[in-house]
Amino acid sequence: MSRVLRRMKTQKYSRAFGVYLIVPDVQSYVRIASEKGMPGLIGDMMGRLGVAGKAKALLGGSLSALNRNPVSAMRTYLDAETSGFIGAMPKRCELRSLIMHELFTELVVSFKLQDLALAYVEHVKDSMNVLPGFATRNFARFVDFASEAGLPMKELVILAPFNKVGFQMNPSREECEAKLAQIGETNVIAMSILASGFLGLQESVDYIRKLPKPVSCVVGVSSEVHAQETFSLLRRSFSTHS
Amino acid sequence: MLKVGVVGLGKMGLLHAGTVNMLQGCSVVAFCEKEALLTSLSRKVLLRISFHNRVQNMMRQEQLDAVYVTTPTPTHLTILNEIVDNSRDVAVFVEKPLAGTYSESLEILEKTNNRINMIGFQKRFSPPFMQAKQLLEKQALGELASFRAYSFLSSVFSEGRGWRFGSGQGGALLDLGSHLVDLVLWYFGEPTTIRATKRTIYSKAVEDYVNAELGFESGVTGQCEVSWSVPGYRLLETRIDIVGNNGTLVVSDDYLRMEIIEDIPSIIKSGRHYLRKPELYPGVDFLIGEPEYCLEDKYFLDCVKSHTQPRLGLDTGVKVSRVIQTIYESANG
Repeated sequence: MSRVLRRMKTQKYSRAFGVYLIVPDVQSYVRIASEKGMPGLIGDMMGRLGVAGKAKALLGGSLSALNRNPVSAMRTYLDAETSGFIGAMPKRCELRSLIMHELFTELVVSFKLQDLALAYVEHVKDSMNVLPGFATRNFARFVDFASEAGLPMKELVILAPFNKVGFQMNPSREECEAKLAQIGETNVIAMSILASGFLGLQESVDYIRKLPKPVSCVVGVSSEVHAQETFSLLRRSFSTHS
Repeated sequence: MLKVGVVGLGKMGLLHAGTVNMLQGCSVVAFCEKEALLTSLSRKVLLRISFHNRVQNMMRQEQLDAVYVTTPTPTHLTILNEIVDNSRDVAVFVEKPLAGTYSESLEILEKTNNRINMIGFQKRFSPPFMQAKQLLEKQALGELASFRAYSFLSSVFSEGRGWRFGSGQGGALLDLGSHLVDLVLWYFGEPTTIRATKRTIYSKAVEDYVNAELGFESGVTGQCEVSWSVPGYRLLETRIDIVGNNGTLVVSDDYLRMEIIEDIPSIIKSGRHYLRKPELYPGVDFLIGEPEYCLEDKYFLDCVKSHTQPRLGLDTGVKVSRVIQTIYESANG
């Protein structure tokens, strides 16, 4: 991540970039949890808070504060986790959305943590002034949860798999498509559109275009050349069909 | 409504609890966790769940239908003893491996065989491995001759900390290899001969690499390699290559590839077959991690509802423990 930011800073771009940031960096936390257990993980997260959030984190993010008020600690954690990234972003970059990692989203949905979800949305929207987002591989269930919790659907970003073969679309492709048709105005970003490389770009685009509602797409790229090829193909595919 | 308790508030405990809570007719009502910080924090967030710091208290105070044990392997025996001593018939699900030693595994089985029990070898619910099992049962490869199998991960490149690195409690084979051993037993039966070597590369008390040669009554021979210190495997990769007199089969978490010599009517056609994970994807009630976790939990809790003993009982965990112990004995000379 930091390498990409450094590269972006040193090069001139004619266009501004919108950044959609997924928090937290679950991969590294899972590794720490495996090595040190959950108490070690919490300690590590608090340590990062101290370094990243400085004074604010010291006031609100200590273990005792975490124990007293987890929602308040979550707000402090979000600020600290993103502040380093925002500081390192090139000038032309703009943080557009903060997206909760899918592992956290699924637990929030499963345990029906409506208050926590609302607090997250309010904080990201009102204090950070960006769109609050949720990544999920349980799109249909998430939409049910969000409606019941009274989350402002119009102002949410939902990052979820959508592809022709139903890969990671739960409980089924049909149910996810039906739910997409039912919901009102929402920013849905389709991920896994290539189903881990199983589908070709054109057939993926054809599927996305036939969805009951327009959605944005995210694709992974591994190099500059790969990015150029993929994005030019995507631009062509979407524009020739419009 | 099935009431479920979970012992251990680590990543596996949360994964199972999160999945179970979204299965129809099931609800996680209690957690048992001895770390005070975790408990007090979780209590403030998970308001509808009760928290206990001792298994005995949880079992006495809650009317549970099933309990998941997701704590570190060395604690399984003690925890299962407390569960059994404080509940006549609660069903138990134990995360893999069953125990650190074969004798502890036997002790656990003896204690729990009067109730519904299951071991968490979730790779048996992974679509490519399930599909491979069905094809082997239908003798798509003809008479089996040999196999090569490995589980590799890039995680240990310096001396590690925690119970996984304690002598007699962990090591690459016990931690990662139990899934591989289980799959090998599932596909080929119990081995009759085992010859193994092991190496420590970065760890002091436990092995980082194991190589075992297995022989079976059917005449099949095979090789298993397990290591958590192989570069290039950011995620755990488990793969088995099988040779039969009607072709070859390669199965991993991501694909199933076959080269079949002759048609077997209504089972498989001759030629190349390549099935990738996306086309085998089953769609599950609720996904956390991989679909096999949801399929596994659903199967276990369906068995609890119908008072049926799962096919993947703790006796399977005992068989795996026996093979792992024999591999260690052989490697120790």
